[in-house]
Amino acid sequence: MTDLFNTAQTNDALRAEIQEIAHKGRASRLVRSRIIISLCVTALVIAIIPLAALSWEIILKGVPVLKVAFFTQLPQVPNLANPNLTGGVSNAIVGSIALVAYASIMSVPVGVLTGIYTAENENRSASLLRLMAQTMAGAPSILMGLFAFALVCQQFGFGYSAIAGSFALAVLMVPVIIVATEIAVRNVPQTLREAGLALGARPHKVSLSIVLPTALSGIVTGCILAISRAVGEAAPVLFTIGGASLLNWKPTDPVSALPISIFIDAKSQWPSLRAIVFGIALVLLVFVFIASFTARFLVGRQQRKS
Amino acid sequence: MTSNSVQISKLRRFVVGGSKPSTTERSWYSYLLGAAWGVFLLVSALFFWSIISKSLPVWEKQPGTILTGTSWGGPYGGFPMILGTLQTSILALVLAVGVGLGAAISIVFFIPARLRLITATIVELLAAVPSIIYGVWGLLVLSPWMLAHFYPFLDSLGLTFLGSSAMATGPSILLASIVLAVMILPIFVSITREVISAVPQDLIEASLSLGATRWQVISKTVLPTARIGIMGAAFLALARATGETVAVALTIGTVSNVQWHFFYPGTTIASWIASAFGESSSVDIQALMALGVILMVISLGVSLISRWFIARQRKMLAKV
Repeated sequence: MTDLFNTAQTNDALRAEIQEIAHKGRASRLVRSRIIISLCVTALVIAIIPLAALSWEIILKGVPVLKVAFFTQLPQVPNLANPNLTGGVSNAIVGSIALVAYASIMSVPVGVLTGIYTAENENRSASLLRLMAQTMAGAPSILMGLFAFALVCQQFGFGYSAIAGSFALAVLMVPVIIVATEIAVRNVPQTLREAGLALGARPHKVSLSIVLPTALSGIVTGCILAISRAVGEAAPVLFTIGGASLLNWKPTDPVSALPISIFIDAKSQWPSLRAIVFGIALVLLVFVFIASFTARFLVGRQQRKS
Repeated sequence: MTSNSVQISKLRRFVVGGSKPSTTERSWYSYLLGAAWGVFLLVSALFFWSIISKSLPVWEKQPGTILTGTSWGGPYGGFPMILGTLQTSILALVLAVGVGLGAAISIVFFIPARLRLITATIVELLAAVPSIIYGVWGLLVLSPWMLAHFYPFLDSLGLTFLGSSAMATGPSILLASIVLAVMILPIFVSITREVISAVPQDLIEASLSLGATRWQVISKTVLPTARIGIMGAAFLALARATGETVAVALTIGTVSNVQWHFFYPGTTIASWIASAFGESSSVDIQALMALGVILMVISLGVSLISRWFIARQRKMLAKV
């Protein structure tokens, strides 16, 4: 390389040699880059395959199951004479609606109010609460089931009941609502608050009539996401609601739920019951997707507004 | 002066409805917020207290056996469940990180902007699918397919340490891990995507201007900058995998022995609690609660580590 700098070589030759070296490296670097880029894109395709496969399979096998009887009849057990006797899942639909309704009544007020508290206070009690909410949000859902079993079924003596299951679901929902509310309330511009305070409104008046309406769509989004998660959760209600093949809905009754019906029927020996599972899964999937799209729509509208 | 103060008191009456303002008065509203705060902290404290207190007899009688014992019948050995939890969640994490890192990188850098929103939406929808649906899909769709094609294929590669495909029945540690990997993939991808997009544009442009190829920009600039946040995403996904219950309970077969061959059924802590609870006596339930405490420690520990990583990444990017 030293003779590169000899005067014997012209500038042009020098440039040509450098370009050659640079191009040599560049070609192999580009090839390697392209290979890895295509690997990355392949990974993306692989990542999306499950959703396609899952939705395809569930729609394909679920749609034929969805008849009027599926929604209105009580479940029946197939027998050798009548292997296709499955009935419907009306008990699980009623049970799921009841569970989520009670869970929402318990969790939404607590979650929203605590979320506002953490957003508007910058002290030690607020950060303790934030830590607790994050810890609870990360706890496995089966532990909520153990908790509700120990506290509501045993300690409070309710036994297997809708109230125990909805308590477990409420414990699951509250952290989600707290985190969503806190973010929504924090995103309200400080100038709006100051304008209210400057007019002489008291802090609680500002919070109720200015901050809350502005943050409402964010809070509603959080609640929708929490509800859609609660509807599909099987682990917290697995050993708290008891299961029922009747149209039970009262808080102290044992009830059934859609995810539990899936859990039990999926392991059944009867092909007709295993077929029903896809129908229930389709109902859950449609509900969750609708909730998810509603939440995205609300978030999008809020972003356009501000 | 007087007209001014009349004006002000009129305005004030309009805003606060006539009552006299006082800065020291605590309104009903602040009590309400305080009450909600108290309720939530009480419930959280009860959560830990009730699970731990129910399991105390087990920790007093046989603290060693619940961790290392290999048989559930009699002395309540929890080792198969703890081992199974680690096996399934770590294998799932390896699969999900391999695919998810590539997917997140291509969402941010390689695909056209039009497709970006659609793929991001699909990933979020995947995250919203209830775990029981992944379980059903794994048991009724994936399991027969794997039994027919995937186990024999791995067998033909000579991977005998996994077990023999002829003796596989469908539900297995491998199947549960694949289902778990599919479940935790969206979480890992969405957080990794955020972390990668937060890498400052200046750094990327600086290395492009030095003549780096697109892959060199990513491997030499983006990934080192985002490394800690990606670790955080991985640990968050791991936390989710360790606590997953019903999807694993459906696909792993729930057999309570130590299982090293991934073609055969095993069990995890969460799925064992779910399937054993129904037929349990009150003494059994104490042991299941003790397993619950172990699960709580593992999964809260992992999610604590993940939160620490993500907070450190934020702090680091704030400095750049």
